[in-house]
Amino acid sequence: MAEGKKHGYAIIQGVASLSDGDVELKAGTLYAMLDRLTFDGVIELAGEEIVEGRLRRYYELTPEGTTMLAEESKRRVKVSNIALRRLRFVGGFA
Amino acid sequence: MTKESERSRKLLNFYPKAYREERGDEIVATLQEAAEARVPRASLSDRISVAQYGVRVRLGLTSETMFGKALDIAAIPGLVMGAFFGLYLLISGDLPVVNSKFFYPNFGPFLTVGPLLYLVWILGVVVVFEWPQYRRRIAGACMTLTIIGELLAKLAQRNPNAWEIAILVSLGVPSLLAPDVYVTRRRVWPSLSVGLATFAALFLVTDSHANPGFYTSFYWYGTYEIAHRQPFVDVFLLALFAVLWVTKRREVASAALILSSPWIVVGVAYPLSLQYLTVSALNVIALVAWAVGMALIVTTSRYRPRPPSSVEVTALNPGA
Repeated sequence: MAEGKKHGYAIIQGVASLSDGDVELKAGTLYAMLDRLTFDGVIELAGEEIVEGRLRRYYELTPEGTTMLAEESKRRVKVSNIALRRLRFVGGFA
Repeated sequence: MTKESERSRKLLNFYPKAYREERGDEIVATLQEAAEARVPRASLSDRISVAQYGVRVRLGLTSETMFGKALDIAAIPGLVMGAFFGLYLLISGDLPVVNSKFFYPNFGPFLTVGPLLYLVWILGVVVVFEWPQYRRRIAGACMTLTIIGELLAKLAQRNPNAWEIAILVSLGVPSLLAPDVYVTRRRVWPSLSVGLATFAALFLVTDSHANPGFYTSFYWYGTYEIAHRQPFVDVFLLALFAVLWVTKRREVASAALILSSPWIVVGVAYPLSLQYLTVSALNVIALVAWAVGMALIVTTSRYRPRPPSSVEVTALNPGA
C-alpha cells in the first residue's frame, strides 16, 4: 500500500510479488490483517468500485500508517547496512 | 450467480450477520479473483482460511477483541502452568507411588507414559520461549500427545487420573485459540511467575508431597484435595479478577479468569461425578462467578459493525 490504494486481491498479489512467491497470503489471513490494521488506524478505506459485477474495496495507508511504515523501513535499512558493513569487514561479502 | 461465487458465498455463513453485511461481497470477490488465478488446491486453502476467520469473528477470537487479547496474554503462561503442573504430578503423583513400600498399585501413568508427557510439556515451554510464534503448534502437539498418552496408559491398565490429565490438556487451550498477532511476546518472567505460583498453590492445597507412599500420591487423592481445598484458591482467583477488572486492567483480568477455568470447573465437576462426595457450596459460587465473568468477556468481544469511515467512499462503478 506504500505506492497507493489497493484492493484485497491486489494486496495478495503484492505480497507474493514482494516475497518472490515465498509468502502466499490466504484470503482469510488477508481480512484478519485488514481488520487489525484498520482497528489500529494504520490503514483506512479509500474507495470502492464494481468490476465485472464484483465489489472491489480499496485501502490505503493513513498518515499515521505512512509514518509508521517509513520509520520501520528506515530501521530495517539501518540494521541491514550494519550487517552488510560487518560482512564486508570480515571479507564475507564482496 | 456462478457456481463458484455461490460456493464462496456459503462460506460467509461462518461470519456474524453484521460482518457478512459489511464485508461479504468484498470477500466473495477476493475469493473469486484468487480462485481464477490459482490452482484448485490453493483456492481450497483460501476457502478454509476464510471459514476459519469467520469462526474467529463469530466467537470474538480476533486480535482486536477483549477475548482475543486475553487469550494472547494467557497463551504462554498457560503452557508454563501446564509444565509446572506436570512437574508437580511427577514429584507428588508418580514418585510417591514408586517409592512406596506397600503393594505396587496400577495407579498413575508412571512406568507407562506419565514422565514422557510431563517432559513434552516442559520441552514445549522451552521451545515456545525460543520461538513464541509457534505457540499454537506446540500447544497442539502437547495436548495431542497427552490425550494419546492417556489412552495408551489406559490400555496398559495404569488408570491415569482423567481429571488431572483434563486440567493439563485444557491449559494448552489458550495457545490453541489465541489469535495471530504481529509480534508474539515471550512473556518469560510473568509466565514463570504464574507457573511457580501454581506449583506453590498445589503444594499448599494438597499435602501429598509429605510422607511418600501409595496413599499419599497425588493420583490417589489429589483431585479430592483440589475439590475440597479449592475454595481458598477460588476466592483468591476471583478477587484477583475483580481487582484487575476494577483497576481497568481488564485484558489481564480476563487472562487470569481464563487460566483459572480448568481448576474452578474441575473443583465442581469432580465431586459431581462421584455420588459419595458432596460439592462444596463455595466451589459452586466460584463456578457461577466464573461463568458470569466469562459471559462478560464473550459479550464484550462480540463483533460490532464499525463506525462509518471518515474518508468519503466513492463508487466508481466502471463495470456496472
